[in-house]
Amino acid sequence: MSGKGYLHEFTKGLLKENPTLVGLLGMCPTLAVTSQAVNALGMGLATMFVLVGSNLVISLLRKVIPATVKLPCYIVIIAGFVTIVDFLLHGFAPELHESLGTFLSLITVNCIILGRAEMFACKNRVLPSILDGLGMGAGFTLSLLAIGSVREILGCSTWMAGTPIAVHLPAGMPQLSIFTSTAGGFMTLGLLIALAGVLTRKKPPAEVGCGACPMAKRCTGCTPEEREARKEGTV
Amino acid sequence: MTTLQTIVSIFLASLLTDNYVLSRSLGICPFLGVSKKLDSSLGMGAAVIFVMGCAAAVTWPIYQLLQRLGLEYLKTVAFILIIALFVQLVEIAMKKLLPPLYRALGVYLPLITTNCAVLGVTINNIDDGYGFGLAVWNAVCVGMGFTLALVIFSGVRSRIEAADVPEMFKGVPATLVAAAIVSMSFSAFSGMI
Amino acid sequence: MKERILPTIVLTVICAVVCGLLAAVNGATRERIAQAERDKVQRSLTAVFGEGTYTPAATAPEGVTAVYTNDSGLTIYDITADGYAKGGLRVLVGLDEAGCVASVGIVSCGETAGVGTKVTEPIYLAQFSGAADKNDYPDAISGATFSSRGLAGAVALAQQYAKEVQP
Repeated sequence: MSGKGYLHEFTKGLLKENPTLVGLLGMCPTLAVTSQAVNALGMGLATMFVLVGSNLVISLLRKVIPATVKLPCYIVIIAGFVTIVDFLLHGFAPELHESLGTFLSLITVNCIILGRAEMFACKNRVLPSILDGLGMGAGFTLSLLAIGSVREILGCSTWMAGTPIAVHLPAGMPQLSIFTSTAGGFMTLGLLIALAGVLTRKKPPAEVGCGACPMAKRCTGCTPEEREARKEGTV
Repeated sequence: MTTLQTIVSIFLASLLTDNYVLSRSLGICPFLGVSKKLDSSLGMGAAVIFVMGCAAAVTWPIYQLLQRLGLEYLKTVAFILIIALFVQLVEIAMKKLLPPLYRALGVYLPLITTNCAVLGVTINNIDDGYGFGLAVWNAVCVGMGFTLALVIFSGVRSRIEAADVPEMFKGVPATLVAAAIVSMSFSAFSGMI
Repeated sequence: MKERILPTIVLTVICAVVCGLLAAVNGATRERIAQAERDKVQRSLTAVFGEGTYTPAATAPEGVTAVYTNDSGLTIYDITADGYAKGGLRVLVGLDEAGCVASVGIVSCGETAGVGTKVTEPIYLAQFSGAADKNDYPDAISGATFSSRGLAGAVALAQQYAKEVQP
C-alpha cells in the first residue's frame, strides 16, 4: 500500500465517513455525555483508545479467530480494553470517571468499535487497522466535541468548564437549560447533521436503518417488506 | 421505603420519569432504526423486554460469584459475553422449539446484543444494589419503558412522513428534532417521584 | 472434529488472556485508584469545612464510612446514603461539640441529573445548619423526595451517633 493509501485510511474517518455525522453510529454516548464539552472530549478520547487497541489486536488475530466465534471474541477483546480505560480514568482522572459513569462501561457496545472490527480490522493488516482506528476515533471525538461545545455554550454559557482553558461567557447571556437535557441532545445532533448536509452540499442521510448497524449482516430486516427486499438483494 | 413503594417507583421511573431512551439516552440506535412502523416497534419492544429480564436474571448471580472471588472488575467483560452467548442460545432454541414465536421476535434478537440499554440495565442493577427480584423487575420495567418510547415515536414518525419538511431537514435531522420534542414532553413527568 | 473444538479453544484462550491482563492492570492501578478516592474526600472536606487538618478516627460506627475531627472541634461523619439509587448519595455531615449540624456537604451524587441532584444545591444544604434534631431539618424537595429523605437520614444517623458518644 502506498503512503497515500495509508493517509486515506486515517483521513476518511474525519469527514467523508465520519462515524457520527455521516454513519450515524454510536448514538447513545453521542447524546448522553455531550452536555459538557469536557465530558464529550473525554468520552471521544476513551473511545478512540479502545478503538485503536481493539483494531490492533483483532487485526493481529484475524487469522487465528474462527468465523463461528468471531462476535464473542471481538466483544471480549473490546470489553477488556474498556475495563483498562476504566481503571486508568478512575486512577488518573477521577472527576471525568465519575461524570461519565455507566457510559464508560457502555463503550463496549458502541457500534462504531464492533463495526470497525467487522468491516475493517478483520480484513486488513496491522498498520492500516491502527490508522483506521485513529481516524475513526478522531472523527468521533471531533463530532462529540462539536455537539458538546454547542450544548454547553447554549445551555450553561461556558465552554470547557473545569479546565485551564475554560471560557465563561458574559453574565447577560441567556442559559437555555433545555440544551443540557436529553431533548437538547437530540435537537443539537439533528441540527448539526442538517448543517453538515448543507456544507457538503449533500442530502442528509435518509434514515438510521439497519444499514449502519454492524449486525446488519446477520439481521434479516425489521419489517416484512425489508425482509423481501433483502432476499431480492436490493438492499 | 417499603418494598411495595420500591416496586411502584421502579415502574413509574422506568416508564415515565427516567425512561432509558428519552431521558437517559440509552438504546438510541434501535429507537431510531426500528420505530418506523408500529408492528416492528411492538416486536422489537417485546424482544427487548424478554432479553432484558433474562439478562438481569443471568447476570445477577454471576456478579455475586465475581464478588465472592474478588473479581468485580471483570463485570463488563463477563456481562457482555454472557448477554451475547445468551442471545445466540435463545435464537437457536426459539428457532427449533417455538417457530411461531421465532418468526415474530427472532429477527430482532441479533440486534439486541449490541443494544446498550441491555448492558446498561444489568450494570445499573448492580450499581443500584437491587436484590435478585427487584433487579429482574427493574429490567422488565425498563424494557416496557423502551417499548413505550418506540410505540409513541412510531406514531410521530408516520406523521412526519406525511409532513412537508424543508429540504435540508429531510430524513434523519427531522427524525431527531421530532425525538427531541417527544423527549421534552416526557421531561414534564420529572418531579412525579 | 477440529472445526468443533478449535473455536471453543480460541475463545477460551482469548478470555483467559484478557482476564489475566485485567488482573495485572488492576494490580498496577489499585493503589492509584484508592489514592484518588482519598483525595476526593479530602477535597470535599476542604470545600465544605474550610482549610485545616482532618484526622480520621481509628474506627467508625456501623453505617458510617469514616469519622474525621478537625482543629475547630467539628466531628465529621462520612456517610453513604440511599437516594433514589441505593448508595447514590455520599454525604459529609459536620457536627459541632453540642451535636448540632455545622454544615452538610456532598461528596458524590449518583442521582438522576437535574432531578435528584437538586439536593446538592448549597441553598438547600445550608438549611440543615444549626439543626439540633429531626424537627429542624428542611422539608423534602418535591421531585427529589427519595434523595431528600436519604440526605435527612444521613444527618439523623450522624446526630444519633454523636448523642451516643456524649450523652
